[in-house]
Amino acid sequence: MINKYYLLLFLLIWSLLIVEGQENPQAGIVSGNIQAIGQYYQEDTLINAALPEHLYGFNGFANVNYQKGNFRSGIRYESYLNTLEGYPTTFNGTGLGYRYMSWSGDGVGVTIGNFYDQFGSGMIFRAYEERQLGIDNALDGIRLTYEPTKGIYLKGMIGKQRYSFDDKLTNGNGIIRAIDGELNLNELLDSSNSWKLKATLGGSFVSKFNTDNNTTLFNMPKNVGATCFRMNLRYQKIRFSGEYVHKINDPYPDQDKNFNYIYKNGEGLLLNLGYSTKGFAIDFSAKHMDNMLWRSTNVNVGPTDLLIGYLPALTKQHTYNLAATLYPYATNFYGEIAYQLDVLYKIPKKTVLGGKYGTSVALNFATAYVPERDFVSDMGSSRNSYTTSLFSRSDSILFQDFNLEIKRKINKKVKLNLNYFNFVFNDDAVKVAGYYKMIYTQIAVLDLTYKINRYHSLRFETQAMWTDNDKGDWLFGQVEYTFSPHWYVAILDQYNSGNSDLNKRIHYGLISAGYINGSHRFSLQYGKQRAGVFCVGGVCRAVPASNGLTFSFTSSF
Amino acid sequence: MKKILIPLLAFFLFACDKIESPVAEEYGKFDWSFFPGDPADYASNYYDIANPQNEWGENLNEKGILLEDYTGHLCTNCPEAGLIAKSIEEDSSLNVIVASIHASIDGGFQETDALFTNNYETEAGNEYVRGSEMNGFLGNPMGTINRNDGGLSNSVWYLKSQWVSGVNDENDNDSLNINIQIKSFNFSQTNGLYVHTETSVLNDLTGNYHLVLYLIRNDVISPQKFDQGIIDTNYHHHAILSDNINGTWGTQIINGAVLKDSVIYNDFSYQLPDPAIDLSYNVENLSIIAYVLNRDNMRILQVVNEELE
Repeated sequence: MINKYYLLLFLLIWSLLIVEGQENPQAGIVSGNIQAIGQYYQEDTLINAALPEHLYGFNGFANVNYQKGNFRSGIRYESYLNTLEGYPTTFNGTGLGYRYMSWSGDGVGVTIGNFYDQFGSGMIFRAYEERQLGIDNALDGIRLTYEPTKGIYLKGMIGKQRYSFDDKLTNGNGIIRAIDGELNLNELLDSSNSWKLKATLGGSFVSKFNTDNNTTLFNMPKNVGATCFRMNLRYQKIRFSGEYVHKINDPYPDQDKNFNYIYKNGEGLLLNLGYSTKGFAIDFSAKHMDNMLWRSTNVNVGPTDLLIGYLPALTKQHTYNLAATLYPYATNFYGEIAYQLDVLYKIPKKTVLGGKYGTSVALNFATAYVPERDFVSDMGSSRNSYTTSLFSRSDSILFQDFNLEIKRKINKKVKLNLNYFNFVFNDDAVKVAGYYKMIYTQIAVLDLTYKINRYHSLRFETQAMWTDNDKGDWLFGQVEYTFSPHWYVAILDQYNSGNSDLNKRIHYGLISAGYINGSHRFSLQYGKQRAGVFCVGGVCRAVPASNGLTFSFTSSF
Repeated sequence: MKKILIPLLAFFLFACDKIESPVAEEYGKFDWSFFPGDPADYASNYYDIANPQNEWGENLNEKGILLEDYTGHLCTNCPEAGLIAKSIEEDSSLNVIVASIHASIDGGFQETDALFTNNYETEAGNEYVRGSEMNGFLGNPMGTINRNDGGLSNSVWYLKSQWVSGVNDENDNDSLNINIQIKSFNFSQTNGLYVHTETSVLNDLTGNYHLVLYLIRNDVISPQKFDQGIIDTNYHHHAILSDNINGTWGTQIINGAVLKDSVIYNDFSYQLPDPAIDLSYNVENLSIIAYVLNRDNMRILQVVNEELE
């Protein structure tokens, strides 16, 4: 009851501020954005399409912010009526899902209510929203920031994480307490900015308190802490960053006996070395991650629920359909040893290889392995389950991605983009394809844009995937016609040409059209959508097959 | 500033629970190292310690009588007592359970030598005859019948000649205030033994009650001395108390008043002697006797036994 009163009071004060802000521009600035997606589902037994009894799914939200001077406030209204298929079922109903107020001055900042934040790469703490994945683990509490002097940045926060939405925001039971400090040595010590070396050091401590414990067999830690140290160095064209995180015993239930309620400390080390100059860049990353699942609850929840830490992905985020949605990289929560090499080179223009406008070549190689684990029989005592060493990997590969992208402007009218992908995908470990064996696949993409005139352009995209595993070969084709600045229409087809089951060699045809006017965008889409996996940064969501009409609208003000 | 920062840092740095013993002990001093696998699997495959109420059916055990035969392999009168005990046990109408306890005040009849190599004494057995809580033991063979005080000079100790009448008297008193069920699981890889009991209170009780578990070897062939110096080297020793699984006086299960229909669950872990070293510890030759003892007057309220498999 008290919470309801607080909410009403908040809304009242906030509405007054908004009204005042709208009537008198001097009073502040109002801004916001909206996104709405509705999908009408049709039966399609051929592709086993989702057909919920409500037939129509809708996800929508609108952010409205008010700012005056150092004061800022905002709300997000959310509607899931009913939730689109494939989104977390914990998103339901309509109501306020986010509200906050913040103010700052004299080096001090205060936020009350909901907020997002991140320490370093996010391994130790990342409160963020990825709406396409259905992730929203905003903290609900209080955050203080303090800058005692230039170059020293301190941050402290306490709160609960957003867990679900059922006509209102529902937080998890766990409490998160976090502090972070960052030292910018250049700002602190080099007032004349004469140092060639740029250095930043940082450290964090995050702890959780939770009593979610549904096992009486084990003594569960109620307070679990993690510590993190990080540094960023840059010397002219070379940059280096390193981050180490360590977490004490934090057992979770797990289907795998070797990871079920284990009390081993978790650790992660992320290293990155890069060099860049005009027309050339090279970047190497290495990651050791072990037992770093880090949630504010120790009971079974959805895979993306109540995550405190984010396990960074060492892989390129692909955008082409077949490469992005069939066998995408998903971070392994148990742990992985991963490496990535990125090389970018722009072949100069007016050369034989570079052509008249120059040619961009991007090479990327990423690989992830299961750590070398020596399992010990201690499940009846210390329950560490195994030992492992930094960057000691086994022969068991989780994922490998070699890809090459060549972008070239042929002439004033034609732009060409060629891509080649070579994946090794261990679905026995990653378990996103449902094949549960090794998958070896190659994909080639040709993306051609033809500019008819200043306002009209045509884009052709064709993709082919070859594999002897899982569902076999796929073909993809798309034609997109844009008559700027307002309209576009596209038609595409995906065809499972190599499926060993001839009845499953299905065409997934889709037509879409959109209208864009300034910051407003409407689009309509009709057709079949195949089942797949959508991943962002190694975090994935399964997308069920569907057939029907989809409407979307986005706008900002 | 330091005054604020140091306690603040200390709070954060130590705000963690480092767990040294992950496996909870509140359901018995379990030693999970005897379980060849993850203790988490025990609940699903064997017995759910956290939810014991789901593990038991109706208790159909009738009132039992524990006849403890205090004996010794050098005691020449003891084989005859053993025969009496066994014959009483074989009378199914009496529901007698025999435990042969090799113990005496001075241990003379239990001594070992080149021929009598096995020492069947136990710490508990010696305490029962030598301690102050069961006074009146004269020598082997003597016995107790549910540790009631109908023995010699109103003690718990019965001469062998009194056993039949003593058992009959105890059998006439068929009131049952408490009942017991046992489940056990053993693992040959580790010689681990897990025992679970359900103790049901059938009438309101007040006092200090203990649950005691005996490990019994059902049949052991080894020398026994008879009259006139005869030694039977192939003598079948019956129901030898080999150890107390939960100590001499067991585990306290009631202290004070307890209401009718209360149910008490207990769990025990134990490592059996290796049968590769002593064949008599083969699980097929082992059983468990469980009884509830009133520690205030030493009376046994109920006794049951379970053969290991």
